[in-house]
Amino acid sequence: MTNLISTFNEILKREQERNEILNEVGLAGFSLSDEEVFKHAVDAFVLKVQEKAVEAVNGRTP
Amino acid sequence: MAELLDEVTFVKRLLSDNWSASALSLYNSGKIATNLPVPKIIDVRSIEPQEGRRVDADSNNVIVIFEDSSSTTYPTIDYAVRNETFTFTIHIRVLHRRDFPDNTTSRDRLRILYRIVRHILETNSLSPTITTTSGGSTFTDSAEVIKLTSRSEANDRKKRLLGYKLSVEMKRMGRSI
Repeated sequence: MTNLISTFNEILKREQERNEILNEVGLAGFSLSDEEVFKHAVDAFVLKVQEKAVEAVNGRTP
Repeated sequence: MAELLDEVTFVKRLLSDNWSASALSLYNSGKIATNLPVPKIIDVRSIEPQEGRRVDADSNNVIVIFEDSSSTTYPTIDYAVRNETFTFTIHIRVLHRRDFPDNTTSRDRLRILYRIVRHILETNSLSPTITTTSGGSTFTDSAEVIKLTSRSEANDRKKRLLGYKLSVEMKRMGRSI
């Protein structure tokens, strides 16, 4: 569980940083709202968990 | 064969170098209604402040590219050959402006941008290659496969942004170490 939370926090931080960069360089019009950033992080997290599940089923790690 | 480009730059160049040809091809065959020029294609790691300000003033659409993951395997017993898989997110974002002639302008533009990106990826799916001329020498950078693996809607009502988030996978195989 701790690993899952930590993985999600890493992904959320990555998404926030990507968005902040757009704000900082004058692309604020194309940056996302906080809610959308969170949603993107959740989507990326779900994909990551799915990948790990497939790896576990296949019996190998990357 | 020199590999000069990192993978995000490779995808960025693939889109920008092939944009005009794909847009013209789709336009001439009646698959898109407007031949849109190359939008600003952004790698957030390398944009500069002035670049951003200019984009905000001039453009209503951008494409942002991120690398999401990369994995490497060594399929031979002597670890002499490397296979690499990269996944990217290509996020097409269209700003909906109140002064657009109708409510579907942004949606139509998003659809056209998506079709052009898809066309570029499909026509370059096997052995995508980027040629760079530097200091009088020509270098070629390539991969074995690049393909579109999924598309999801990524709209942001608060910011009046319409978007498609595309997942793209690229493989480089059999590269000697």
